[in-house]
Amino acid sequence: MKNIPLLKRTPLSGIYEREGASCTQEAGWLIAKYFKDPAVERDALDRGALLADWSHIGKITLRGTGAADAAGEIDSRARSLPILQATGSGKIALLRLTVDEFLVLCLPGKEKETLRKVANRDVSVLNHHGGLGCLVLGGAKRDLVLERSCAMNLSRDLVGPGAVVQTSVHSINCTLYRTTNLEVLLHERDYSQSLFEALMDVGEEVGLIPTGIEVIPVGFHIGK
Amino acid sequence: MPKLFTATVTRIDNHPDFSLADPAGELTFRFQGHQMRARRGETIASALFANGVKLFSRSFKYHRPRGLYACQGQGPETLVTVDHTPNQLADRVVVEEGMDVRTQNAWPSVHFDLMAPANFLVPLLPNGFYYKMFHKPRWAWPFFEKLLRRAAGLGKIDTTGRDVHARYEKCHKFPDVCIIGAGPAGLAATAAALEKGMRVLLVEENERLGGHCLHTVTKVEACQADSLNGLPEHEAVGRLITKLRSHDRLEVLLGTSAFGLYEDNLIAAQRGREFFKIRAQSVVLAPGADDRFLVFENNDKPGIMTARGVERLIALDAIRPGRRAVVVINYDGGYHTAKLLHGAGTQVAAVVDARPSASKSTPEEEVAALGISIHHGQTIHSASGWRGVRKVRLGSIDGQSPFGSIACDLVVLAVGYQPRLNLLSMGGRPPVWDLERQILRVRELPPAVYAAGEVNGHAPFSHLFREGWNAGEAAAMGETDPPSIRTKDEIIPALPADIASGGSNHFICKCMDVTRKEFLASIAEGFDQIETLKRYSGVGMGPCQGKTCHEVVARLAALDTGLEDSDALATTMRPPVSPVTFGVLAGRAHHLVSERRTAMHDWHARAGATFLNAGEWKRPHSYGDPAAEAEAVRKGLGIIDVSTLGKLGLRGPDVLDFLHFVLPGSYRKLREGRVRYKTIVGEDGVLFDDGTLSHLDPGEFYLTTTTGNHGAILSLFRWWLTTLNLKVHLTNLGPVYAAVNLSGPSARTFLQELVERDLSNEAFPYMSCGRTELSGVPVMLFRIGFTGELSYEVHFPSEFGESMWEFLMSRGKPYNLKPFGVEAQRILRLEKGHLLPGVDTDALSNPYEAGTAFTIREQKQDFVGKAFLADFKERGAENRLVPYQLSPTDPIPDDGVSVQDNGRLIGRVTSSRFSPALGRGVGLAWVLASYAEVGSRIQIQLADGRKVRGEVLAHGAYDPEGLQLKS
Repeated sequence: MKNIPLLKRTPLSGIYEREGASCTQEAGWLIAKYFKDPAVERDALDRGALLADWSHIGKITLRGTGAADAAGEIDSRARSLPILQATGSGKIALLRLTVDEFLVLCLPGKEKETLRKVANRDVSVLNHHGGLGCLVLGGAKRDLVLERSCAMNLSRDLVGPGAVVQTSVHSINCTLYRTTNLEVLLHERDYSQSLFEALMDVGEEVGLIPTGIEVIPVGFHIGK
Repeated sequence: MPKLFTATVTRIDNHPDFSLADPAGELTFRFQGHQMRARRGETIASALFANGVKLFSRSFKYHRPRGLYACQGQGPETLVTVDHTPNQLADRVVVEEGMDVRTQNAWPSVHFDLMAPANFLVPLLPNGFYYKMFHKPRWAWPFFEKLLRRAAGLGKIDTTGRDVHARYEKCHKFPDVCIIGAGPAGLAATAAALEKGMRVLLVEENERLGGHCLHTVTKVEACQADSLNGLPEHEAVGRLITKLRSHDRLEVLLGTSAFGLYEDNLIAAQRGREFFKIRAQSVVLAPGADDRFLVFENNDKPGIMTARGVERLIALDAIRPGRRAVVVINYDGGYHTAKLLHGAGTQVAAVVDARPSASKSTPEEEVAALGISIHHGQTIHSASGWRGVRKVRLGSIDGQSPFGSIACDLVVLAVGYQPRLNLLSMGGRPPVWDLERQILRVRELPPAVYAAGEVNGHAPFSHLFREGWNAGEAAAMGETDPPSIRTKDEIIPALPADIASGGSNHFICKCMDVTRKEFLASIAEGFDQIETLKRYSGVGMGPCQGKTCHEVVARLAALDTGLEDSDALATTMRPPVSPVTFGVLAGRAHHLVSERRTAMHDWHARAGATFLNAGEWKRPHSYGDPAAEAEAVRKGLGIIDVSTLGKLGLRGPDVLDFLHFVLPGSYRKLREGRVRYKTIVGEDGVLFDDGTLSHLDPGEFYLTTTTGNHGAILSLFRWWLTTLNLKVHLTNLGPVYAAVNLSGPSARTFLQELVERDLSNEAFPYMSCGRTELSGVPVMLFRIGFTGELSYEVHFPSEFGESMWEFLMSRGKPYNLKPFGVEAQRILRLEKGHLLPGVDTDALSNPYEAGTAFTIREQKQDFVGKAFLADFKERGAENRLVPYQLSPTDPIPDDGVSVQDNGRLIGRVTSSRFSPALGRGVGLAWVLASYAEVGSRIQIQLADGRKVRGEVLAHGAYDPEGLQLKS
């Protein structure tokens, strides 16, 4: 039986097509590099706001009483991580959602490698595959988009880099992971287009534009 | 310039007491089709006034002429239609280039209004005539109802959809301290809170900070901020504003109206089409005060204005408000207004001071020195004039002794201030009359809410500043609201609530056109409590929401019902304080409704599918021809996107115990690789959902639910897992997997070409499940279906959704594989007699009546709904859900029509469709059990009254033995 490799698509693939995004393949995924003009999009990092699709990253949930130990196999700092805080590096981030639940984010295609580290642990493991959508909000004016989208106080003196917040954004349940420069919004993939459209809609006022991984490459550094 | 505009109002170039701001440029706009010029930044009202427009509107009920009153964006006088949007406050909305402004509530114009005779006719009718008349004879009411509806209301909604794409914004703010009002108290509170390191949001309804001080020339004395002493108040606030503006922890919202204060310091505010939801740790309310409303004969005439109203026109907009004015006062502040008027070129004919003659104060001396005559111990009794004031009569304060009259075109009322209590009162405490301060006050506020400034009573700048500063500090530190103190000389005594000088046009509520006479008549009819009085007469229910009249209404209600002033109670003040459009409250669709799209959604859209809403989901209804789609499934091969099904993973040592508790069936014998149909009942035994349970891997179960109940069942299972001491891992796999169902006689042959697993009936019979690969993608395969045909359901990681669909469509070409939508699926499942929970069942449907009792194992020890199910079984079925078929020639009933027996209602049709395979109508219906016998004939009444007869069946009409399904 001849196998034809099937392309993995993010929930925004229809929007890529509609907007004429320039796409690339990464770890079997079709993902946007940039939308219109990478120079303009880079400029918006300093002056405006950007929305990128990271739905192709690896997303794994560890749940159960052994979750902290299992997470510790991936990053030893995870064992003592407070609830709703994250550890992050360039390649991997661990978000502690509850006492016994972690969400692991990793580079695209690195799920198996990550899963191997927790293979023998007494923990419930869920590889979300494409089940979770992931939008990333960046740029100097991203707070103006958030305050039009979220009913939660996300001011930086309360919710600093490395914080994890479970909140609704445009009535869609999201897990928000904050780094110094980015807001990572994880949500059920079925809502992705709706969330993207809602954010772009309210962001019009502050110059929000879509972009891709060439302008906002995947990386999980929390920053300073 | 048309005649209807007077020439008595002009711009002024300079003022002896002010440096008038240079105009920020000019623009043009249109009023009633006439082009006019305006200064940038001024309100529509100011622009119109400067162009000589004194008549702005006609009143609600009597169609009396109304003009500018307070210039504060509150009253009904200035309601106009702006760019087709009705009921815009002309003294709030800033004029813009090209604006089209039109008057409303008058026809053909405010100057010649054919409804104006209402002013004479309506008073002849009984009080509250619109409740009492026109009902007899009965046939007359529909006519009068139309007439009254046409006459009532303000403005006309634009129904052309012109604004359908208007942007409405919503925004959340989270300051440490939110300060409402930017007068001296609000500014001081802001400075104090900033000094304490707080993040402050300052909300001001006007376009300029400074409040009443912007037009006050009185010098600041004894202020705790030394640098402000000796400056005129307008300069003092200017200095304060300059200092604050550059602060990085201060955000200022200008032109923003805070219209509600709710629990936990949630403030709702509006700026144009923007809606702010502000959640602050502390709130300082410094909304200030308005000039008191004075009731006398014809107190609503155009040309009668408040002191602060004319001061604003002079100082902020460089407008001379009238040619010859009479200033009615009862405190020294009125002399300040008279002086400003004089400086603006208005001839001040007289200052009428209600106080008896005494030693002259400095302000009085200054005014007297200008040659203005001053009358002590008098007040205004009445105003007269056709479309505006021409003359006023003066007399004693009790209204009894007239003294004389003065010709004028402007009457200025400077009789004290009434606090703006609306926001303060939303903490649940009604305003009560403060005998000492002679104002209504709210004395108790909710925690973390503070009040400062004129809202606590009139006071000079330094006092307001100190009170604001203290409130700002307390708000920042989380301390209790500091006490408010007023000295005796700061209090402005109230004049009588109504100057009872005779006449019948003493307007108490200008918004709703309620006079004292009607007020008394309402009380005489028994509406003698303030709240019933409000509802019957309408006082305080108009556009200003009582902001102008609440003090007068409270005092007169007490007086006219024999109570003391101290018993005066204001009506309940509720949000919104100021008018809010529905657009602002609703926002845009994105803010309200989220949509769920399957991984194959874009393919469906490209294929021309029409979508239906299944909860939040968008599902393909059809691809153009549902009947043809159904036929393709029966004769060949169809594919449907079933990704919206709920999918739950269950595993763990106690998983079977858990399933046995939450589901009514028995699954201990469900072998690995097998699927079973299951139902879910509530604790009340009512059929709630159905789906399948698959034993996919050793000890691992995969449960599907209907699209609509996925969230509820997930929550229910999680809830039970928190209460049951069972080791079970429950995983929501809904978004993780996409799913399709391949259905039709060719399904096996087609799929076998793509997978290595043996799909023969022997190796993979009906109700089997297993894992395999499809084009290299790991998939779960289920031999189940809803259509009655040989079917395979394929579940796979959702990121492959569209690619997998395209792959299957491409490989299915030789089999003429066709996509089918929900409508075709409905036809197919009705041919087969399958029910759909929530469509064919409701909140009273039990499994015994719905025909799903085979999914229940009553002997189990305990499970959700057991007690009620036992009761249902014992009672026996009263109704039954039955499949039926019609004769080939019968028309198809609509869903929901009744089932009857000689006119007696015996049931209802839940689902009904034409079956292309059978060439007749089929469906499901609830009927009384006695009519549910197989072969019974039931009479279905169509929506148009015709009747058809259906035959009750034992199973679905198509393939009742299930041979296709199991083939």
